Amino acid sequence: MTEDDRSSLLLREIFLAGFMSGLPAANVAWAAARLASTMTDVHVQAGEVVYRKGEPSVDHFFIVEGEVELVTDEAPTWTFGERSLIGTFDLMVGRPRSRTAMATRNTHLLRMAAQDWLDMLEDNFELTRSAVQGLAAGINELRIALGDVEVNGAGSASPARLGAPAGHFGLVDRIFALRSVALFAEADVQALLDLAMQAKEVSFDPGAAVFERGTSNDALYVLVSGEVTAQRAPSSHVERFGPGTLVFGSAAAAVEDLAHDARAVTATRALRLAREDYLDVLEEHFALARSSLKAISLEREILVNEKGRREAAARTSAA
Amino acid sequence: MRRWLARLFDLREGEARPVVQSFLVLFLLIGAHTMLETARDALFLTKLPPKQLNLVYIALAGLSFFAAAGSTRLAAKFGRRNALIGTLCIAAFTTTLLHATTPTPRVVMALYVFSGLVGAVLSPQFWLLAAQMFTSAQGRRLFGPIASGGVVGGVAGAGTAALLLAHYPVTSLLLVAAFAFVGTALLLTALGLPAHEAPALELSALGAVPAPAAAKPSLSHAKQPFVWHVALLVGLSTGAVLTVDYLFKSTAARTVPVAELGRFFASYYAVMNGVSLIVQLVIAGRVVRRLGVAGATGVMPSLLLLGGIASFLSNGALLPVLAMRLVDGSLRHSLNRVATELLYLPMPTAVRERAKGLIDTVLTRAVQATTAGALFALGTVGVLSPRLLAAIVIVLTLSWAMVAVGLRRPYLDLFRSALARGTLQLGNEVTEIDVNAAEALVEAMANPEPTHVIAALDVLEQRQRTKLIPALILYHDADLVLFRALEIFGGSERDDWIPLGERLLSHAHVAVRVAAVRALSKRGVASALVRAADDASPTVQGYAAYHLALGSEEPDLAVHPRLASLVEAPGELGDAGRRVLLTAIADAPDPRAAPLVLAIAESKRFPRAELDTMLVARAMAALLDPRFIPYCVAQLAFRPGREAIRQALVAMGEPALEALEAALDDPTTDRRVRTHAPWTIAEFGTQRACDYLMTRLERETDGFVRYKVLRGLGHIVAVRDLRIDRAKIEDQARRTLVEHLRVTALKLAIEKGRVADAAAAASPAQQLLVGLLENKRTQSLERAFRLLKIAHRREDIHRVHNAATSRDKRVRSNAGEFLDTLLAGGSQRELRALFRLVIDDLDAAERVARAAPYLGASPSSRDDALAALIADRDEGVATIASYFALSIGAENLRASVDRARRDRPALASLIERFSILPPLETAG
Repeated sequence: MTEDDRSSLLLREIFLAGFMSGLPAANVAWAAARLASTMTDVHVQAGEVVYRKGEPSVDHFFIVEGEVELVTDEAPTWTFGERSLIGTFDLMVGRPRSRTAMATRNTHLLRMAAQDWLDMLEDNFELTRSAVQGLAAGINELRIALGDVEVNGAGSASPARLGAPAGHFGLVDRIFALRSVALFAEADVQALLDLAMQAKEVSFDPGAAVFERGTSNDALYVLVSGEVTAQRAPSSHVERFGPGTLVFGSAAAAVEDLAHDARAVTATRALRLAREDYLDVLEEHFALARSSLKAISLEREILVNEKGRREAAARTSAA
Repeated sequence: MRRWLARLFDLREGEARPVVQSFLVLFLLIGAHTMLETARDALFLTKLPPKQLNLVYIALAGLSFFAAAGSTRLAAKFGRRNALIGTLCIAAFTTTLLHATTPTPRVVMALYVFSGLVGAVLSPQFWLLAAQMFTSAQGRRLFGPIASGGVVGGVAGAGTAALLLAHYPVTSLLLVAAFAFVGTALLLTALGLPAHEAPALELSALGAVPAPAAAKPSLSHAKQPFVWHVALLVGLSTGAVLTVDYLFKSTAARTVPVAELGRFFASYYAVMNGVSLIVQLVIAGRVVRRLGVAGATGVMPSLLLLGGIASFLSNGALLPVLAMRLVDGSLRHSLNRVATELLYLPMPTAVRERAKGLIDTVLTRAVQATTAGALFALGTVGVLSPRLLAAIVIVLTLSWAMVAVGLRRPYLDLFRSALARGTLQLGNEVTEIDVNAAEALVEAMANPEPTHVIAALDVLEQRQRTKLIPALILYHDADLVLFRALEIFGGSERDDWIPLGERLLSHAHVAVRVAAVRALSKRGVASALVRAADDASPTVQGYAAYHLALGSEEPDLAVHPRLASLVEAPGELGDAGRRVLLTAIADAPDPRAAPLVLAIAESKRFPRAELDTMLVARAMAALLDPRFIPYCVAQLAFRPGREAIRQALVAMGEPALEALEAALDDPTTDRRVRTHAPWTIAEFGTQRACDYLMTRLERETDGFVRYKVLRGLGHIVAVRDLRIDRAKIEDQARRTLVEHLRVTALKLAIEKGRVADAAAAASPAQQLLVGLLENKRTQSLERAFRLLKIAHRREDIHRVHNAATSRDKRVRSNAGEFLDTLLAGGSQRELRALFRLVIDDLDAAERVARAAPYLGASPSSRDDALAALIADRDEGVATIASYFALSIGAENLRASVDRARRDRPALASLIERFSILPPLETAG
């Protein structure tokens, strides 16, 4: 290994360690060293394309220096600067590139193969948890910032699938109820079974609190029947959740101490899944982690696009 | 008949047509060439003395280089199939031309050279085409039957020649051979090459970084050691069989009358090819399966070696020479051909094309020329006795056998190199920090972003280069940077930062002041504690209070009034005080503080967040008091701070290990504790821990806990150089693969039931059951590979697993070939066969049918399968199976469910909890 290689490796490691700050130090050291050794430096000139829309998502990029725009005709352009990660949404969703990435300045990127990334997540649960919770927390912040945004289907894989069974909710019903939620939709059956066994059936009278504002949110609620209204912040708009949805959507995977408030509007039945139980099952079933990351990425993408549209509209009206 | 043939030759769906076509092509090709050879040998030996053969070999060697180059170019330009068709047309035309020419000695010489070139080019061209059409796994099964086409062609060619020679002159064989060449070319035009005219997927698809597309394939030894081993093998075999051939022909010329030579050769070749056919159909496949590809290459040289010894001892008597030639003739184009062709298959296409072209034509001809030259020279000086020839055979076949024996390692290396990652490796080199790297770090520490600075500090600490951190960093604005820097300085030998650290004792933020007190007190700056005791913050005072309490005579610090009040303090302030107290204890451990730590850990006031548990664990790890062990073991059930708890247990050593073993051995222990105990035990990294996990793996009955034991064992052998019992691990892998096949059989039966019972097709319970069984199949295969990784820790089994489950059949085939070679030992036969059965391209029904020897009776109906699943040890599987069984209203299964509920309280509880059935009525 040459001196330049060593320096390059060290710089990558420092960059990654900084990028992953917030994780336990031992995890950061391990992951940074491992990732640094599998990455390659990519230098692009202003105006040069990093990847094109429609290409297979085989890798993603950390921006070390510079700026990259992600462009598509169907949605607002996204701009990312230093210490950002691009190409990850497509990778998490498992689809070809949905945008073209173009450098707006001379840019230094670190390229990482998709498989290396996924292998590392599978081998280190703390990183997986951090990815799931970090992205989910971002959804919550975006929803608070955007207010009354309607995202069709977000948080629900197939709401129509779930009826409102009159009797006791059996094991199979529970598994299908969980599968109707986007966060769990693509988990393997074993993971769903484990979640179903951990879940507890609860019911709320009209007006009863599902979440009390100011208390720690230590559970996820999948609604079986009824309706719940909720606010993520004291002044945020009121959202409605019906059967087959997760209260607070995918953000519920992360946010522990919301200034939230959720109440049953009608007589409501739900499956209550303790957050720790969810994390325990997540630790054992990487397919559940992949499913959660996909659902969160899709919802977050919709919200980021919506934010971009609103900002563009605001700029237009100001002009 | 068709089904019988398919079963006999293990033909899979879609394989029959290409196999039959390939068989016929090879049949005609070899049949034609055999007739050409018969005419050639008879004409040559009637017109020229045997020693002239040497001149022919030399001429062949020189010309074969051009023939090989021409063949490669032809293939590159027109494709592999068209190149073969073209060559056949040229062969037909030239043979016809030779037929029309008077057989003078020169013409006979030309005929010999021409037939040699045709043989040298056509055969490699055909096998390269076959390599394009079939994967390694297919090659193992199908190259035998295909090669038998050559053997049958040889028999038919020799038989036809013998019949023709009874009525027509020798030259008539040339015309018949020409027609056969044309027929072969016509047949080839109908050969379908749907997917494989395009370059096949490489072994590199397993994970290697391929060479740039434009780069010419290199055959240098450093890059392709396996190619050189194959070249050596082929070179030695060529020299050996040529010497055997020379010995045979010279013996025939010496003992058979000239007029009888044509008939003698025709009859002998017919017998030889007959034996070859039997070997091909009955023995070759079994030998390859039993010995593996590398082992099978050693069979022919070993037998020839025995023949050589017999010939040497008998001074070249006819019988041993005939036997030796019989071995050559019967194995060369059957077993040896199949084994050698299979050696080429794992090579990347570009390398294979080039290597095979060079080895099979240029190298073999060069070796022939060299051998022939040597024999000619020896004959010229009159020393070439049959005994000397036999001695040469012994030397060459012994060397050949030794190379064959040594082939396994480079064969495995071929896969290993493809499996290896083409990435920078983290080694000792990286721990060194050169000037450039130091500059990079200094630059990072000047970064305005605190996380960047902290990352640089972390890297320097990991590299044990904390001296490079400037003390001036304590002027940084960010609290996070100050914490980390103070933490590092406090644990170092440096004192240059102390004046700046003392300045931070009056920092505006309490947390920074605490960090400064900690760092300074660790370096023995007593004044820092005095100042801390007078600090306005109770939290800072708390840190100092512990140190002051250490000076007291109190035998139990839990009853020290100041510290006791900190432990009992309510609210967030109390939490902060307890945290700082734990930090102080970890920094300056004293055995008298053990009850204090336990009091805090077990206090209901104390939160159970990640940070709190971590602080408790650190304090416990510093004190190493055995009274902490039960608390730590129980705490494994909870995720926050689990890693720190693990480290505390490891720090407490053998007593903690014993406690963990006891917890894991006890089936009544909280399952979450049992789930996380194996990894914790693995963290001890000792031989005892490894041995315990090995034993637990064999005894554990809870499938999930067993999986965790397996993960733990995998972890410990990956990071420590410990002894493991490979045979035991492989036995576990074998059992796991049998379980995989058992689940496959159950899933198949359930799915068959769905097809038979249209009404049940929409049953959600059935969908779930099938999905669950598929998950179980995936899991069991993954576990088998994990076990293999433990048994063969130096191999990149993870990549082999990925390859084995790839959608690309060539990649899967390469994985199978790797496993076959890796598990070549006699005791590994069953494991090898099971991996082959699991990876091979088979539909589920066929796989299950073939698994019968391992599974015994498989469920024949859905109800049988459901009954087995209701009785399954896995509660989840049993519950869903019960649910499904009851949903379809099968009365016989209702009895199975009731029986399972009676025998298994946990299952009964699940079934009742999920309202599948009402509670059982208890007697009395």
